[in-house]
Amino acid sequence: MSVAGPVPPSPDDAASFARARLGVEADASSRFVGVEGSRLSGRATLRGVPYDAGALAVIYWRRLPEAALGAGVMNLVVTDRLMTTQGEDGRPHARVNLMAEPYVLSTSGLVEGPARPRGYYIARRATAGTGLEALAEADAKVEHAGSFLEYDDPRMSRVAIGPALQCVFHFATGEPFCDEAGCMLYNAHWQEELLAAQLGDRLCERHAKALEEMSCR
Amino acid sequence: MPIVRIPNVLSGQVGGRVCLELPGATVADVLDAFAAEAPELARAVAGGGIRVFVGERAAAPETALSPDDELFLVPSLAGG
Repeated sequence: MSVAGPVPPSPDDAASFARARLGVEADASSRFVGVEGSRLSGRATLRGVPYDAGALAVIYWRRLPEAALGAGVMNLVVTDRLMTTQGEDGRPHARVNLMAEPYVLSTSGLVEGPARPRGYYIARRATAGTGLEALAEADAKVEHAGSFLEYDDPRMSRVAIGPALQCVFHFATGEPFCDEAGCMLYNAHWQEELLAAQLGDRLCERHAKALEEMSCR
Repeated sequence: MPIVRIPNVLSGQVGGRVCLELPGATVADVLDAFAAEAPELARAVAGGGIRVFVGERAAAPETALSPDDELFLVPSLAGG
């Protein structure tokens, strides 16, 4: 396994990312090229902007070096872009990782993907349309502090290890997830489940053994 | 001829190849030819488990192709 650093962005990349934005028609994407360029050069941060996960993967895929394309090579891209796929309800859902070429892990997906505690949403809904939404959200954040991941959360790196391992397991075995709630391979749909699985720093017995066997290869 | 790019992890189903050159004037044509090479993957495409992009744009079966187009097969499996 080798670890590569970030590839410097080219001017074409901004147009590609603008087109990958969710719900942006091709002829309207040029409006976002400037801001995507600013983002790529580190002059802007865009949080909560959803992208089509598949389109993101293709952007990264097309920029992989030839040596990264081969049966035994696993490529994993970590991004702060928020990626979405279409859910069974036909609506876009924020995702943590995508088992594609390359594998993509979204740190924004860790924040926005798994749902926050129910009470958080109840407080927000109760004030919808009253002009007090921001206040209610701030209160809910205090009330539920620590029970969900936020942007710039110091726990982010630890929490991302399990979803990265899910990608490794998918590559090695075809099965990325575990049904056991305490295992780091558990596919959490709630923030509380995510934090419990990832901050517990453990794999279930079956997957711990499988990882050990992988490490010995 | 258009080229079909296959994720590394799925290349075992195409004899270890990560790209195939296949004839066709539309995405559907190329996928018909692809089905002969990799029936299981073609079924996953038909069932929506794998999306098809031409260049960086999501494609439909009727999307017209030029000979130098590249098709990317993107699995939909995601976590979170």
